[in-house]
Amino acid sequence: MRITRISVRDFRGVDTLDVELNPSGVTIIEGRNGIGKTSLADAFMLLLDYKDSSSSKPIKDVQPIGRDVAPFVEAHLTIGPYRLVYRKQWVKGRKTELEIIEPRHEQLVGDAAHNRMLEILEKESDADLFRALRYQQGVAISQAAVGQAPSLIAALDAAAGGTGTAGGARQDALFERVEQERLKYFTEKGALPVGRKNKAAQLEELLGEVAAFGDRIRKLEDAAERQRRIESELLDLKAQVPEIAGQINDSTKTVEAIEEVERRVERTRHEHERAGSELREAVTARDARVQLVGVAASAAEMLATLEADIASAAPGLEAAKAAVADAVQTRDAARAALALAEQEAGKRRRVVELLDLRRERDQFRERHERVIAAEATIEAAEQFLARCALDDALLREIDQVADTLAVARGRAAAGKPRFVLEALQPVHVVVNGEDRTAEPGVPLEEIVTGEVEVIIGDVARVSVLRPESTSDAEDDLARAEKRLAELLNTARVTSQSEAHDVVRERSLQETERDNARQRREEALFDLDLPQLAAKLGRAEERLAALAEEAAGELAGDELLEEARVRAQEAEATVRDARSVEADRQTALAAAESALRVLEDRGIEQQTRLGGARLEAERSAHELEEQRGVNSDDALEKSVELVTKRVASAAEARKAAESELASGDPETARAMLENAQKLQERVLADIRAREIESAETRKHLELEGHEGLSDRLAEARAKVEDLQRDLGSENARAAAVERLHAILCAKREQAHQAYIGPFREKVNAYARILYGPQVDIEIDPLSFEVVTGTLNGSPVPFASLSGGEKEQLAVLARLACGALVSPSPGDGAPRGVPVIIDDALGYSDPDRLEKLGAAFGVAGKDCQVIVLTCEPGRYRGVGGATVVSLG
Amino acid sequence: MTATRLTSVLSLMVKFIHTADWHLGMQAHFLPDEARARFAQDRFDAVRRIAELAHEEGCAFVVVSGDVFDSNHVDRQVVAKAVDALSSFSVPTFLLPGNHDPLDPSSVYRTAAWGEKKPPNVVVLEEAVAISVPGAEGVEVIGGPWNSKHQLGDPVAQCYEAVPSADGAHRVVIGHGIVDELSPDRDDPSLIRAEGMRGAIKEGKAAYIALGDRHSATEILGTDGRARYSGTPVSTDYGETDPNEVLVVELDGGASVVGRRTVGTWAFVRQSFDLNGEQDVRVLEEWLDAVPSKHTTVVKLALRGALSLAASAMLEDVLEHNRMTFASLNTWERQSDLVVAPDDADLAGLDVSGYVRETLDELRAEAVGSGGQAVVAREALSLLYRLAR
Repeated sequence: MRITRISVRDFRGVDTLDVELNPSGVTIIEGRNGIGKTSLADAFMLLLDYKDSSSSKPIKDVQPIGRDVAPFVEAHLTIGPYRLVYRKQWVKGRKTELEIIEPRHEQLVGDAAHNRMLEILEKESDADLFRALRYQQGVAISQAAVGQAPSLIAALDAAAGGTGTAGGARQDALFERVEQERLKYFTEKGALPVGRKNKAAQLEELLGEVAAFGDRIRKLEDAAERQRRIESELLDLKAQVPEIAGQINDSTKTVEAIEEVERRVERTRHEHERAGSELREAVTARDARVQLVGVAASAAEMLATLEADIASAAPGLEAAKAAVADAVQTRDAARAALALAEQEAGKRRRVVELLDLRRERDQFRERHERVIAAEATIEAAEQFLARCALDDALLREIDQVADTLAVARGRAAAGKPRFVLEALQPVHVVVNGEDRTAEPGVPLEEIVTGEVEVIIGDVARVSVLRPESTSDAEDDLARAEKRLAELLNTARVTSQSEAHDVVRERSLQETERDNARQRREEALFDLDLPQLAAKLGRAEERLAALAEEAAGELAGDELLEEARVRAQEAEATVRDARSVEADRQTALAAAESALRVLEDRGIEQQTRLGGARLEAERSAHELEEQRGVNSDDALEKSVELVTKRVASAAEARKAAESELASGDPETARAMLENAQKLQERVLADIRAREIESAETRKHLELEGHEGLSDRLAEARAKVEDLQRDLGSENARAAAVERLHAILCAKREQAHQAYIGPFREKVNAYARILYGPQVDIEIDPLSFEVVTGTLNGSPVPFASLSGGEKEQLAVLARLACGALVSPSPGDGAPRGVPVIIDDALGYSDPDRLEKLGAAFGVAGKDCQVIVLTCEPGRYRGVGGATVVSLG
Repeated sequence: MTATRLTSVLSLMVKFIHTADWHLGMQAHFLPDEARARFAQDRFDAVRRIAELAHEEGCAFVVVSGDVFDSNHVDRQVVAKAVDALSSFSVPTFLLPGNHDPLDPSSVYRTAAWGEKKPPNVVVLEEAVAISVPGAEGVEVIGGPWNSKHQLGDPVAQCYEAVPSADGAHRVVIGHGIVDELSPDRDDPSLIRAEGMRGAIKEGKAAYIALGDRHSATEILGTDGRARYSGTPVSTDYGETDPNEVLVVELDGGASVVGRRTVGTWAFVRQSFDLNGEQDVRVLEEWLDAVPSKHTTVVKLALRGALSLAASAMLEDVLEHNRMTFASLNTWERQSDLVVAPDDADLAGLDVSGYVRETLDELRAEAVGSGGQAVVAREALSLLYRLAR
């Protein structure tokens, strides 16, 4: 198909537009946006697709808004051998006109024109391919959906050698039918569809039903068979009943006869046993009598023996009692002696104690006195010493001063008057206050250093006055005297000699004190005075108490040592007495023990004697009583009589038992019992079978007429139907699966074969754009670009850049267009135009230029119509016809 | 005794119907639903037809030699319909329990549905005791019923020796089972001894022995036509000879004159065809066209030969068409061996090219031979042919 001219009027925003196109090559239609470029392409599509009577949305959409006009389209076309003009007007003044100019002139209008046009298109062109090859910008970049286009397939088929392997539309339609057929038996993925699965499940269910019905019928038949058997058995059993009754009757009679004999056996046995029992009694009575006689005799004997024993034991007992009495006496005497000795020893001990205590008290008292005396001495000495102002140092100083004074006096005296008094008779004088006695022949001389006052008795007072003239000697003397006076005063003595006396006395007093202290310490020893006093006090108290206690025991002037010796002697006496007492006690215990032995034996013998006496009396009494009833002879006779009766009873019993044994009672009873049990069992069997029979009958009644056989037959019929159905379905499924498998494989092979030329064409155009290394991979079924190897490595179409995608989408369309158009010189054009509407907006100038070359190459083989609002974009397309709109 | 009988025979002239194997309640599961219902109903209708016949022919009584019911376990409705159909009999009618409906504890004859509704002139022969036939003086009937599905011993033998109901009565013995001379299984304990029958007839212990079980009307050899199977009054299966009939028996002196009367309409037909081209298919089509009473005819076809796809398609059309008219029309799979393979003409008629053509060629190669793969391939070819035509 070639479009040579398109005219539109009142189409969307376009009033009128009329474009001439280059039928073989590239036509570039330029114009600003809205001028109607796309409307041209759309108008051509509507012209082909919609009847003039159509009021569908696409038609309504092209009606200019607000204008009372009718959209009109006219196209001049070459299709195959046809050259024609086709025009339509919609909405108002609807019309369709087809004017065929070549090969034969035809003029058609209305639906006839529309239908004729469709016929021509169907036969000579490929409308689907035409739609697929239109590329519209603004609609997402898409690859041409040319996979099923018959003209492309045919062209490729021809290109692949024209073997027809590609098949074409008819083949693909068949393939489609096969696929549809397959979907009746399989899902898309080859699984069993629900319907077939259900059938299989249904078959299973039906088979189950058949089995169940079969089972029920089998059970029913078994029950019927069982019932039949039971009924037959019941008849047999009931027939047995009278026969068994006869057996029971016969056996009963036999057993009754035997029972009569048995009763006789029982009677004789009883008699025999009774006689035997009587014999045993008689023998027992006689034996008891013999025994009783023996018992009485031995009891009497025992009594006598015991009495003799007791009598012989009496003297021994008395002797033992006497021995005990003696022993007691002896022991008591020893005890008295011991008491006396202990009393004496006590006295002796108290005397010793008293004496001991007294001596202790005396010692304490003496020590106490000594201490008191020493303390008095110490007290006196201490008093003296406390009063005494002189000590050895002071004395030495006095002596020194006295010496100095004596010297001074000498010197003073040498120059000084002296006073000399010579007593004619002893007279008492006081010289300067000092009492003196003047003896005849002993002058009292006194150096006069100062005033001297001498009182002679009560006779005269002589004063010697000295002038106030002093020399050194006198001064020294005066000083010495003064000093001496001071010292003496200090020492509270009047003279040097007195001082010496005092010092001597002092020394004596100190010695006396120290000695007294020594004595006191010795007397105190380890105690202090209060302790000593306390001890003394206590000793006194104890002594006083003891003295009261032991008054009279103390023999006058007895000494302690003597008392001790006596006390020891008394203790020894006590020990001796105690030993004797213990011996006597032991002897007593032995005697008592011997007595007890004899006494115990006596008691025992007495007890035995009592028992023996009772026994002897009792047995004698019993024997007497027994003999009162039966004499010994009578008993003996009774034994003899009964022995004879036993013998005759045994004989009768043996005869009866022998008769019973010959009657075989066990067998007779066993037969009767057996017959009775048989009867019971048969009756029980009858009952059981009757119950079973009733139950089975009920089961048969309930289950038997549910039409089980009908239902089984019905279920079987369904199974067979379904199996047949499934069998045939499976066969059909296998067939369609096989057909489908082979078809798919062959189709794939075919596609692989004829995809070659298309691939080659696409790659040829791609090389113009991307250079010699390019490799474009095409899907054999969809004819879409799968991968593009533009720069060394294959990239999936979806991952290519926008520009590359767009370029490849356009190139693939050009390749399609070129392939379906016959090669030049082939005669009538059969291919379809490729319409590129404002594409390549993503492509850079270099690629655009190369693309222009590709357009040029493609334009040699097919009609290419390019719509663009950017004239510069397709500048590179050489040899293109350019139509500028507006 | 024998002399007395033979004497009285001379003056006897009695007519009765001998039938058997009604199989009431039988389910023809091999039939489509519609035909199946008719098949079931037609058995009851046949019973009524027999009653009419008895009346028309002036029969004194009717004997049914076993298998009155298809099973002891039929639905209550079957029993009810049977009782209803039997009520149309105006003469004494004797029913013998057979192997399908033995007189066991589950017997249909022991059910309340039967016992309470059974018409008074219908007698079930429960034991081998001679019964005088009311209204037919000098004739007694005696039957050896099946008491279980597993009959042990000749069920008829006891009938010959049973005490007669009256002096000189002519005994019609009714039995059910396979006669030993006709049985492939000679060890079956329930077989009826042919020799015994011949002896009984010869000795005058039986005037006629009415047999049931075999669905084909059959005369026992050497019995002068006095021991017979009546066949089933409504055909039940393939291979039955002269079914759909009852016997009208006349005891007239020493001989029985038997007339056959058609009762049933159902036919079971198995037919073989060699099909090796469209011409053969046409022969088959003509044969089918010629079958009368198609709606009560069950056909099983054994098809052999080799057909082209076109001929096979034609065959399918023929069968499909006839299935609508026949009670049942099926192929007899076990006996069929029909190879369908495309011939050149088939393929020439197909407008296929490219990969479809290649597919066709491959399938043709696979279709050669008789293996499973070849069968699938032939089916696939047929399918392709159908889809591409």
